[in-house]
Amino acid sequence: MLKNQLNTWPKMVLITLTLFGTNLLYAQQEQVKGATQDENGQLLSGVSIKALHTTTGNTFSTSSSNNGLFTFSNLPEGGPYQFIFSSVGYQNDTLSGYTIRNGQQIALSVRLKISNQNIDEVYIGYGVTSKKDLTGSITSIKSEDLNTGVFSNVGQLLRGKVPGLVISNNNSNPNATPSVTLRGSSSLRSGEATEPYYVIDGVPGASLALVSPQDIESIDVLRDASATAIYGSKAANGVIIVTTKKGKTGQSAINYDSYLAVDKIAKRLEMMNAQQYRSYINDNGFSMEPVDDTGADTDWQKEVSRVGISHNHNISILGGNEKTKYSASINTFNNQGVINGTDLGRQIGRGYVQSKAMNDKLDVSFNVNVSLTKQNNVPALGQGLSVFDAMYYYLPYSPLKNDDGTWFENTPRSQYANPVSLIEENIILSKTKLIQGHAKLGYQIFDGLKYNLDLSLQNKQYNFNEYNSSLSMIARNMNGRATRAAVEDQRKVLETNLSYDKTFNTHKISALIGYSWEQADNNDGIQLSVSDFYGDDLTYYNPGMANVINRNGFGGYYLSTLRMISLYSRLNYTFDNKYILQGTLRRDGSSAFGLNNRWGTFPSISAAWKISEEAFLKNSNVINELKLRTGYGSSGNSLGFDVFTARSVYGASVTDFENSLGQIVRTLKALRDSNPNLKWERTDMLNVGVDFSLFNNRISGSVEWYDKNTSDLIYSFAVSPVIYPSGYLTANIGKINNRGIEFSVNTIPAKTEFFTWNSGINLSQNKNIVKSISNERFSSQFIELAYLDGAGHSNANQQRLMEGYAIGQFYTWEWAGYNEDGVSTFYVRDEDMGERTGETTITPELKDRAFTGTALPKFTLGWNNSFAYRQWSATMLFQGVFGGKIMNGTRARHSNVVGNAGNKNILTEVVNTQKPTDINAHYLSDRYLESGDYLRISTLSLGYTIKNLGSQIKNIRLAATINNPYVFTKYKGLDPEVNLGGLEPGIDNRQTYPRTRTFMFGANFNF
Amino acid sequence: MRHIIKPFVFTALSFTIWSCTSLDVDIKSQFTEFPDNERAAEAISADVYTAYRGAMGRDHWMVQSLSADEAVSVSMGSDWYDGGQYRQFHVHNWNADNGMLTNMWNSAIVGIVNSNNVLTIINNDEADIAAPIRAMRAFYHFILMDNFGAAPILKGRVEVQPDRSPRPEVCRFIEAELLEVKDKLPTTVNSSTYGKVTKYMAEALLAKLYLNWSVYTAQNVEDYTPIASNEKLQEVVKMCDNIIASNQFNLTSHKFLEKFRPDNGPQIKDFIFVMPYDKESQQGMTFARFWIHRSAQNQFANLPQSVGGTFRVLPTFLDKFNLQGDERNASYIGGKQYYWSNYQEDRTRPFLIRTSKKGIDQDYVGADADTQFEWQLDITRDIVLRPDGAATLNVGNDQKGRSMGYRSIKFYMDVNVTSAHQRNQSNDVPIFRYADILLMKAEAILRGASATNGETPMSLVNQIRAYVKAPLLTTAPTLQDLLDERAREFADESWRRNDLIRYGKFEDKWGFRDLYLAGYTEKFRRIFPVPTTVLNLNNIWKQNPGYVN
Repeated sequence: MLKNQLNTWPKMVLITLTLFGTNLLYAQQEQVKGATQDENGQLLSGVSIKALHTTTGNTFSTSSSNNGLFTFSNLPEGGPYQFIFSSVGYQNDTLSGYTIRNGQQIALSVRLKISNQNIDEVYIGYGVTSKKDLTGSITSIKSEDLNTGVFSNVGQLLRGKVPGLVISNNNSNPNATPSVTLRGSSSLRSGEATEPYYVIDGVPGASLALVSPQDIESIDVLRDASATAIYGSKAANGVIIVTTKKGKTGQSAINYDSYLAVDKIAKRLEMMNAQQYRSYINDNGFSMEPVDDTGADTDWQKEVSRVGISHNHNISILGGNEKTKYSASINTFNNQGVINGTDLGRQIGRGYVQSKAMNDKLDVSFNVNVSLTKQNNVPALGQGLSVFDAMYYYLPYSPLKNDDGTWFENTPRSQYANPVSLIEENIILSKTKLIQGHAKLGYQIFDGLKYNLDLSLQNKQYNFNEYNSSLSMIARNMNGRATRAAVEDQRKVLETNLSYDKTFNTHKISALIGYSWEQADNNDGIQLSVSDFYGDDLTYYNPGMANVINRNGFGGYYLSTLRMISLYSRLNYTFDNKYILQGTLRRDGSSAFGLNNRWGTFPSISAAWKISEEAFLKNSNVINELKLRTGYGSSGNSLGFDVFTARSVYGASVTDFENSLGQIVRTLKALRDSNPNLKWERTDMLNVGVDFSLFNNRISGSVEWYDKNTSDLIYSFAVSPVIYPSGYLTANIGKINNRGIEFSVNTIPAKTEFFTWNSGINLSQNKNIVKSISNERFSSQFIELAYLDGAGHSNANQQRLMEGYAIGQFYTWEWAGYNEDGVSTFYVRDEDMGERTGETTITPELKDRAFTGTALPKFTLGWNNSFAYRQWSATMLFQGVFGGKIMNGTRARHSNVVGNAGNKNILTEVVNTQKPTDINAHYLSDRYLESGDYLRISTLSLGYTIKNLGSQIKNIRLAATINNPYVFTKYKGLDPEVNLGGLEPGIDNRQTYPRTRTFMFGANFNF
Repeated sequence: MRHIIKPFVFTALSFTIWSCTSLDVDIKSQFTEFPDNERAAEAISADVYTAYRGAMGRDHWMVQSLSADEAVSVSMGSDWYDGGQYRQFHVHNWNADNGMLTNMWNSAIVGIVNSNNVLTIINNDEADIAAPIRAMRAFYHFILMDNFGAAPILKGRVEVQPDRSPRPEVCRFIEAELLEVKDKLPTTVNSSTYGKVTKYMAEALLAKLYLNWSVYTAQNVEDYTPIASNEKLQEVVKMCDNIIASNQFNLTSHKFLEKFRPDNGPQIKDFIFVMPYDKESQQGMTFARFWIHRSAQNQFANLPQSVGGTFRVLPTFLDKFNLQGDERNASYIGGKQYYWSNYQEDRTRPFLIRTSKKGIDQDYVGADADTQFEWQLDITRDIVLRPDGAATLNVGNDQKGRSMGYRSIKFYMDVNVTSAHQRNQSNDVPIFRYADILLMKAEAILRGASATNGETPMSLVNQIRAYVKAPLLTTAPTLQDLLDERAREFADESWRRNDLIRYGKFEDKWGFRDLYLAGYTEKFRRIFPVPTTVLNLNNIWKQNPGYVN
């Protein structure tokens, strides 16, 4: 340590000299010596200290070393001097009135206060501003406030933290990704098209798998159109900007961060055991098939599950001096699912170096990131061939294996497979490799004007391997089937812009003009599917030994080249630090759209008035900050397209043809009709917000109201094949409105010398309405959605997309109790008018359905609490969703008393909830539509920090966390948190991977 | 320093301008235009032939068979009711929401549209290579016209929604087209024209059209009666005679049941026009899934997927298979069951199911209800609904319910299937057979056409009877005799509805039709409603009379 210090000192001085080009004499004498500390007296490294010679205006800089000490040795004699201390995350402090005299040493000591979040920097896209100067709606979350848990996905870090951001995950499968929806659903498409746009360290569209949660410095969520419009056509669902940790001046730190987590199933479905099942059959006059009952009592949920052990290790090096900054990290993460055979392992390596040259005018950085992900999965197909279905439906009195050691199966039974054999006889492994290179260059042309260039390349290699053994129920009579796929996605982005920032007296101008070019070459790959091997030994490794090649098994990987070109600009003007006006304009072109409509223009305008800066409030003791802001802007949605979306595509149908020579050949048909008029989905949003801070910043927060109209929604809908040969057309068809209020408050209810309690609550309300699903040429009264299948009623959809109703509108039969035979009846509706006729039926038809509820929640709530007492810290996070309904298809299916009796297991509860005479017990109707309200204690965490351990280790932090300790809900399924994104929200149907409760133990060593 | 700034900025800017604003990207992985060469042309025309493959192998077959007196699709417990989509056809109360009708309509329309695409590429409707495509287009119009009445007549690509032409107009369009192209069509009958259009396919279709002429040209479907005069009867005879005179076809190349096995193909000389299927490469045919007993998945082979076992032949229809020695009687199986191998019942291996008295009959309450034993599967002739089973045609899901009703093995299940084939079979399904030509000629003569070539209805029927080893007629057949002969010959071949309508018997009583009494008088059901989804997409069209929409 000491040696290191000695080596670096002269360098620092040299840098300081070169920096300012002064001709001062080199002096060894320490004129100023000091220490920088935090509020608690902890020595603080990396604080930058500027000495200002107030009469000449000359400045001299240094920064505090690893042990929080600093010196100045080369200050011209005289004064008076001001010493300005600044460090990221702390409030600036200034000491004034010092005079340097020969031979006299000045000793300085400063305790920096942690900066209030309100004055933190906020990433706004192609730039940074302070939260005080924002005109748009942006929520910024710092690393220490991110959720803790076994997370592989950035969405999970934000759950409950950002008003208007709904993150929902059906289950705890390590391979599942949660849906992320900001300010209501505004797309008729699914997947990427409904998700926010991610920008990582300035690289738009970068993959989140490249960043481990421990490397994240902050996440900024751009919520309204005036904030997002700078990203134009990609921003309709909001923008999430992820910034990773970088080295700081004067810092040199090594961090080791690790945790071990234990996952347990939080709740089981109570299915009958063997004895309960036998008596249910006997008591109610059902019959069983003797082949099933071998006298066993198998708990299938137990057989397929385990306690999941997950661990994560992260080592990072951060450091830098005035010229050069660097950071590097290695992360290894392994998340074992609670269902056997499901896991995710990931390794991430990151390296970053930044340097300045040409009198600090040139600033260049490089970034290389690599991530390797390996995922094991188990079959989750339809027709009962899913572990997550079979683990519930399989009969309890059947054994795992027959006496001869073979799997117990009952093959003639429809949609029925031993869940353990499904796991053991199938390998499903995927590997994803991501490489990203990012170069960044900034050049200060003259004071205030800066040129920036960003070049990035991301390459993703996806490999899929599957083997279904000769005993696999999903490849019967096939003597083993192997499937392999290799797919490459590549993305190149060039971003370049000029930015100008200048303050003239009371006028502050900030301007930006830029150009961006990006090309994605996606889905370039091939799949091979073969079968009929001489044994299962080679699994998927040697497809050449198979006797049969599936000519329809090439997987549909077609290279799609998409290019997007944009020009963007932003102008921000502040007058007197009170009035802020901002305008942005972006013009985007994309090859995804029809030839007639490839370009779109996306403007925004916003303004803010810092009322608290006005004279009448400036000295208020109550109001520290009050800001009114409003913005209106347009953004588009160009995510989720490929190059074929708007074009005619001709290709082979699945079925082949025998030609005149007797050869089996491919057919050629219209697969897709072109739509040269296909254009951008457009979202126009008006946002009004108030930011406030009261009582010495003890209470702060904001209230926002927005009105978001999305038009020209894109949907692939059925058209008359008379005109369009493929029968489907992708066109702009609909309008959706989302309107809502978001409310967030942070308070400090208690603050003493040793104890602090921070409490933040956010509440959001959103109302979603489909305004139209028609355009000039096409009109559709409704679109049938949420087809859930089910014995005996397999053609009934459960949701309808319809004008005047929200996305996720349930449209179901209405349960009318039992008839005299003990069979469920349903209300009959008149075919023409849709009114109830007063009759009931046991054979409901499609026409008998009615609007029975909505899936989307009315309110979402997040409530964070953090406590600090000396070295102890604790957090408590509650998160809730209210006002939406869930179709509990899982319960319906497992309540099929007549259909399942003797064939498949049923819920224990049916003894009390179902009549054994009811052949319609499982019919999906409003009977299975349940309230999705819940309040979850999502995180409880306790931490202890051991500080000042000496020169070897700076500090150690230990933490214990429980995720999902308890849920308050009336929902009867496994968990009320179901997918709320996309077009079919609020569905819980059969494929139920359990939710887990996680116990985590973490340690962080700071060297 | 300044002197390097300018060139630097300039270079950077010019770089950006160079890459600037072009959005034209290469498409390397899919065709964005039809490939233009001879080999591709055949592939494009292939789609004309395959358009109806999926429908013919399932929905079309179900609709024609279940709406007639052949078979019923029952539900077992709560399984296979499926919103009543099968029951509707049996009791004649189907509506426009029935998805099977949608699939039929759309597949036929796609066939027409694909034909027009190919004709556009050929760019000369009079060319010889255009002739088969036009004949197929006429065939798809026939499907629409026969099932749905009025249909759009589409002779080329259209930009705006065409009207539906009245049924008689469509009928005459089909006739005109076929007559025009008939003599340009290939006359070769071998593996190269198997499953494709030949001159004889066109003549067979014309014969079918002419035989039903007074059905199709009736001003209103409800007005048609079987005594209506048919001006085209002599044309039926003429078309049949052309086919007979070609000497390309015969009944006797194969035994009756051999013609429908998974290995059938161009060697079957009885076939004039077929829809070829292959379990792997030409998928869509899944008859056996519905006929095989639900617990007898392994009776014929170890089938990889479970079977439905919902189709049951109606006893009244089964009773028509009553001729001594008639090989066609083996189309259906019943009674005590054995394993099968190589198309033969293996009498040494009874098909045993481990069950109990209660497993056989869920209402059995004796003390020995749960005693297990090996039960030889016994398929019974009669179909009895459970006491509360009327609403869903529920026969129960016990062995008793599963075993009611004889099963067809005419299109014998493909024993070499794997999971990958998803219940698909390789049996080609004949659309026009030589046997049909003989029986159509017989019927035309019986209805009043002049006999030709010394053939009488009796001699024609006896040609059939002889090859199936059934007793020969010794007296002239009646029309009813002919209809019954057609039942035996064409069971499961999707012609029964067409026959019953022509005979005026579509409104007769059979099976459980008493459950919807109005069905006996609703003659508008001789054509199906235009599916709701089709009307939604073609909003200028009106629903067929009688149907709600």
